[in-house]
Amino acid sequence: MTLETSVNESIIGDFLNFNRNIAEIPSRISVPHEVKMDTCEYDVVYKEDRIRMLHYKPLTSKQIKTPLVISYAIVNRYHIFDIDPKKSWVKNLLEQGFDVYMIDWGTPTSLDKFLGFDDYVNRYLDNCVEFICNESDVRKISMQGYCTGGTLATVYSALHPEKIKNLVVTAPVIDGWKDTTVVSNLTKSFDVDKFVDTIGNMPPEFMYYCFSILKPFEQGIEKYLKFMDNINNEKFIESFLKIEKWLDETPPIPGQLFKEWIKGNRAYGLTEQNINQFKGITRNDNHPYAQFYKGAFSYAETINNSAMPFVTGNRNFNPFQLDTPIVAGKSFFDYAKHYYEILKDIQDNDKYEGYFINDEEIVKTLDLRSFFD
Amino acid sequence: MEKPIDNMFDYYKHTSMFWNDMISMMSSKPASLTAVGPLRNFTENIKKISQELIESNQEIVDFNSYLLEYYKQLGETWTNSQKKVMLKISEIPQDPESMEAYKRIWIDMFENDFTQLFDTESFSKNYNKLVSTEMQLLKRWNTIMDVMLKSANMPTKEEIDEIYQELFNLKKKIKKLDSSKKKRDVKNDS
Repeated sequence: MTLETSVNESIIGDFLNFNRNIAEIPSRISVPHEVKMDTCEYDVVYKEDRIRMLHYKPLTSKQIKTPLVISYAIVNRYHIFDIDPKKSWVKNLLEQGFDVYMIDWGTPTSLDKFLGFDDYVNRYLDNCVEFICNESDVRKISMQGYCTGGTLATVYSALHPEKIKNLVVTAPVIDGWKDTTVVSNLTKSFDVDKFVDTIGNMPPEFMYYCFSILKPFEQGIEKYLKFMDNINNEKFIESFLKIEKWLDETPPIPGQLFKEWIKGNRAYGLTEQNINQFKGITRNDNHPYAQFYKGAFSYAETINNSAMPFVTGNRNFNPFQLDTPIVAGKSFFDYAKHYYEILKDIQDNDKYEGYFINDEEIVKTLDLRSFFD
Repeated sequence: MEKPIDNMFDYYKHTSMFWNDMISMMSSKPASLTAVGPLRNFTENIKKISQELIESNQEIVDFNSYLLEYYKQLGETWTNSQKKVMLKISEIPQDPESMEAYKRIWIDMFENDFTQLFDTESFSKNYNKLVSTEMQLLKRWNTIMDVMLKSANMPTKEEIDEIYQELFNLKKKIKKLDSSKKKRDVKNDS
């Protein structure tokens, strides 16, 4: 008796291609740790403990007078803002004439486990602002905060409004109780005191775990299948390696800061009600804050909902996800009005230019020049 | 007289502690006479090591049961997802062109089921118990290491932490003094 089996030729072909790709990968692409992360040139102008402040070299002859400092997230590194020349946030700002500084929070060691909010806000951030004011001969600067860096920037601006002309905060971690992701579920019964007292700093491995449970299969499997599928696509691989390297460089979080962060809501007595009061949305509907807040919120939501794969090619990953922008200081009303008008445009006209975002236009829709001069 | 011991763990712990203390007391004097040099500290503190090991017994059992539950939750979710995938793929044609569709179904089903699991109270509770017990065991391990380090005349974790704290405070103080000096200098210059 003869046993006959048949395997489709294309499956064999795919299998052979896959094996050939595995064998040829090393000769085709760079070693990940040798991949260059930055696009724009900069000087390191200020150093304190582990932190560094970068000052980017201008790309235009005409410069906006008020310098802009970016307080990047402390849960990963600043590179993502300048990782690809075509999608660089920093490059876009430089091309608009901004004088851009970036704070690199560095990698804390065991010695830094006692660093808390006070050190980050009233020491590091304040020293950076002081330095910029002295260098540029200005009394106020503009500050952009991203993610956890946005929280620090918000706290700083609330405590030192005399030094802030404009505050722009994207995806800040402020009203954390609204977080309904699986990460928030995981931290519900988390004993942060025990964790920090035993380990010291919050290790990056724990952060990876928290990030990975958000999309375990897309981030853990599909991403690498895509990598294999696109192994011949140089641009894809270059971008992929940069993002992977960036993800791999997650620093630990100082223990004290992490503790204050997790327990912060209770410790500072912040409730949903008084945060909303700060934003102006619990007052009556005619109050301008409420309208502007709603406008800003809808704008951010519109952008997030139409997020496109502009860095990793992953349809659900948008590293520049906007949260409700919170803007304080002199320009608050102008800035909020700007968002309100955009909202009206969106509502009145489906074909509003800024509504649809493709991979190169996302930062260009946020043209803020008129508010920073 | 102590109250009767309820369960096996308490019985084991009590008996071990009793003999641990007895042996320590019985041997402390002859040991201190004979043990000199680097082993002296170790001999004196060896009771602490056995105490930590006895105490950790219950935690090791707890840790294993939480870990088992953790893998059980993941395993059950995996099996359920796989079953759903098998049902779903019976609806798509079995040819090489459908490989991409199969991959998409597999990833979407697994993603959905696993994020649902991570969102449950039972997962969160068990995971946090697992981490908490791990921390407890790590603390005991640190204590045991401290005994070893002390006997080798080296600084313990507690002592290093004190130095870190001291260094941290000194650095802060120096920075403050430095900045107030700078401000004073600027004021004097102007």
